[in-house]
Amino acid sequence: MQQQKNEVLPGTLNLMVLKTLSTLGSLHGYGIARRIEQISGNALQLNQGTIYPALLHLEQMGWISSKWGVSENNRRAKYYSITRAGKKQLAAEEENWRRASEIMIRFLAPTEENT
Amino acid sequence: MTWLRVFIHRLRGLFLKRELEQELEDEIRSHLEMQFEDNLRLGMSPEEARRQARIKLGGVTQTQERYREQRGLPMLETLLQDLRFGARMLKKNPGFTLIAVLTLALGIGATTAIFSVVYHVLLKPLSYHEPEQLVWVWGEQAARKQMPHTPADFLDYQRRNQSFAQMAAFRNMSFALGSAGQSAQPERVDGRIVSANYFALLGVAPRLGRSFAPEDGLAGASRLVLLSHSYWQQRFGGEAAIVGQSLTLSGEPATIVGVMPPDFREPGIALWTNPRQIVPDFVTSARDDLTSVRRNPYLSVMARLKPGVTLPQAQADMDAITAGLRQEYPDLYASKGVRLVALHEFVVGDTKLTLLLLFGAVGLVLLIVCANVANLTMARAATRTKEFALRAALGAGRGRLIRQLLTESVLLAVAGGICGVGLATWGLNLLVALSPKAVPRLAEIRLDWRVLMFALGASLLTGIVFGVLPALTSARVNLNETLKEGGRDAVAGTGQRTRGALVAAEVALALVVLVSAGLLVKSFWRLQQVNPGFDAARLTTMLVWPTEEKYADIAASRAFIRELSARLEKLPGTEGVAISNDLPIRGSDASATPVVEGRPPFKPGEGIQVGRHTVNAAYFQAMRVPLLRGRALTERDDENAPLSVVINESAANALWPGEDALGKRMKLARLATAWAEVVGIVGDVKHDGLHLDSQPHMYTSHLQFPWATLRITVRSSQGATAVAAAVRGVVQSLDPLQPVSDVRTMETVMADANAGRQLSLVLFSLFAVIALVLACIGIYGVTAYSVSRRTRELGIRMALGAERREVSRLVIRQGMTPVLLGLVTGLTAAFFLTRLMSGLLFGVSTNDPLTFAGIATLLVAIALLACWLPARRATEVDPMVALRSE
Repeated sequence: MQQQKNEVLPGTLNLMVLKTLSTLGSLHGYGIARRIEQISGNALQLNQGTIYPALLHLEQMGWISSKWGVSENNRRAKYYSITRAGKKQLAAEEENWRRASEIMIRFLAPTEENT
Repeated sequence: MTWLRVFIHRLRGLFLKRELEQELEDEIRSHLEMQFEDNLRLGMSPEEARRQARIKLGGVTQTQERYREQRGLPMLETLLQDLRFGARMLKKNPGFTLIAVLTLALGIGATTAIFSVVYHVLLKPLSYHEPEQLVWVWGEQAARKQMPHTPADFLDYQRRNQSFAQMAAFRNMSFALGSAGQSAQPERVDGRIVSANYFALLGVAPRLGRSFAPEDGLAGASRLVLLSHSYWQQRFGGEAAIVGQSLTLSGEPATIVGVMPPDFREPGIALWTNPRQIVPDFVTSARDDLTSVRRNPYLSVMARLKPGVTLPQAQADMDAITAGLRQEYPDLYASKGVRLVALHEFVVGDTKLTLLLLFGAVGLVLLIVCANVANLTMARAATRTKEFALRAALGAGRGRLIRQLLTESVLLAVAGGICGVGLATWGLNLLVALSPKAVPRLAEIRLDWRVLMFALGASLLTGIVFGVLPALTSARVNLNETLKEGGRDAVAGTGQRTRGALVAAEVALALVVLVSAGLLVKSFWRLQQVNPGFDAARLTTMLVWPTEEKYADIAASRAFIRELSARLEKLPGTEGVAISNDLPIRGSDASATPVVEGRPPFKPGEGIQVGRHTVNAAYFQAMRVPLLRGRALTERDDENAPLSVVINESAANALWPGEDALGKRMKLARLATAWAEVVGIVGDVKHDGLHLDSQPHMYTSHLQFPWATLRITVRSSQGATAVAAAVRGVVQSLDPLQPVSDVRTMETVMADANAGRQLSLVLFSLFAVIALVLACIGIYGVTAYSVSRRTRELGIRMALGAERREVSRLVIRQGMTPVLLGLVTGLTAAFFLTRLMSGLLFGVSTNDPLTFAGIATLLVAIALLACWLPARRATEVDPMVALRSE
């Protein structure tokens, strides 16, 4: 069976962006998108464009900040980095997700056995 | 605080749109290039690398759109979009927009302007401290109301009452105001002698200097003056250093101690002066003895209630005091009493009825406006059924559609409101300019923002309710059917009926206003027809008041008057010179109850009240008052001759009913001692006002009864200014320090007497015109709308052979049905409502058939015109075009 590419679950993109920035530090939009694709093992069908409204939203919330800079091959790019509020938010969301996914896994486990 | 941060961020996005857009573009471009380079590194051809980069990124436009949504304030942007669209729709229908805005502007402007007048004259609290505690204290004697008080009364009231925190007395007086030590001509000004606590009682402090202290009211105090703000500006140029300066007041040295604030105005009063000692200063002439201090009433009295004391309690207190006085002085106080009136009521006085009626008219006009706006928006919503069905079919939510309609209504109301504010400002200035100066508190009138808001709110609400309701129903309408039908009849059935009812209501309301205005116009016209009893043409009148100290000697005064009349008669163009103590139309300065020879004496307060006038020999001839019997007064009726009196017809009939009055004798007042012979009977002159029945009046020679006031009235072929200059010259050749004031034509005097009537006439007529215009707009709008909706039907009728005349008759009949319905309703309503204004009418019944019929005819004629215009357009429709329409 062909590996199916999953849509990004609603609300998860923000979390992924925050996690990426917290791991890698300052990064431009393209880098963030690449990183998310790599981590998901290319199983995630990311419309890279969708990352920009998400970045804007995070910036409006004050969780990330942005600054124009120059990339490794001398290209002008906007660099994003996580703020203190963003780190706090990330910790809270990580905890939420862990709990939610545990519940979902437990919930879904018997069904798998039956099939 | 996150929301605030987000909001500021988004707001920034709204205003920095272009910069942020550019930034996003740059960011996406760099993104694409980085992807492109990575792809190249993976070994793709440049074209393939570029293509894959684009695919990876996804739709750039969608990204931008979503980015934009995230960036700005979508709600606000939709609103702006709605506004733009609404404005475009309004621009596309200039007829509708113009009519709606005009209706709103007229309604809002007129109601606001007129209500501002009503409010400031009638409803606004007085600019005194706690004005609700202030009362006016009137005296009463038998049938006579609104009498002043004697100084002794005032002192008794002040000492004996339990109800008032303070009582103040005052009397108005004319002063010759001169600069100290200069020989310039003094100026005649009206002032008020007030008790020292007057300003304390009103709770008003001077703007400059000080007001009167209690010791300024004591005997031996010096003469002090407080100036009114406007007189200070006018005569002293608003010079602050004026406080402390000296001047002369009727020849007596006085000191200016202060200037009152600009909002403290008492009509015609230029200055206030202290009484020094309450009784002597209020007694004007040396002839008054102590008895006359109790006998001679000339003081107006105001009082401030103690906190917690009500008007009826104070009234009971005063009744007890007068009862006590009655026991002490049975003959003087037999029929005397006191009536307390709230000061506010007194100040507003007679204008109350007029203003309340106007208020009613404001309400009626506002209702017409609302009916019109409702009609217009409903008609418009009905024509847009198809548009809305289409938009709903294309996926517009109901909320979105209603929001669009709301936005348009608000837009319309705001446009109407802006024009309305302009109209109100302009209208208010016009009203103040048109208002006779005699209307109280005219100067205080300002545009009232609360009314403006009210009128605006009412129109806005009407627009919203009647604009959105059809939208709600049309949103529920079966879309398929509506689109197929071309939206023609979806709402028309019920809408037509509602619109008809609104037109009927409009016509009825307009009719009530028009009939009221018609009755007022007719009253005014009737009033102009009244014969005043003298000929007012080419009369110029002015006031000369020989300064008291110089002419205290009666002989000097007589000599002055003799010489003056002799010189005036010689002026070129002069046809006659009348000298009197007062002017016709404006009431009598004095009155008395004469004792007829051979009749039993009567008690004070009884007897026939006769207005008393002091005139020169040429008076009747100069004023052209017809001499009915006997002779006029002559120069021989002087101080050495027996007393002679000329009476008018009413007095002859009242004093000697069924007898010949000529040659009879009477004492001129109840307590007079000398007998006077009736030497002549003249026609009735309207001394008390044109609208009143003629009252008894008598005339005596100024040689026998000299009077301080000289009213000089000249009939001359020269103009008023030339006459005034000539008279001034003559007076000054006799006495260079003698001021001449109050120069007016007799026509002006008569017009001023009708001031209140004129104001209500102007206001009502304005309202009537506005109501008529609005009703016309309503009738025209509905008929035109129904014609435009029936283009196809009318086309078919004509294609099938209907005559143009028949079609036009059909349209007119349909348009006129609600008009006639409204006419009947309006006439019925007016029949009952006009009774409320009987007090304002003169010489016309409240149900004057001629006025009712005339107004009804006028309205029908104008309604016919409003229906005929669209009817004509209907007949001009080419049947073929009509059939193909839509």
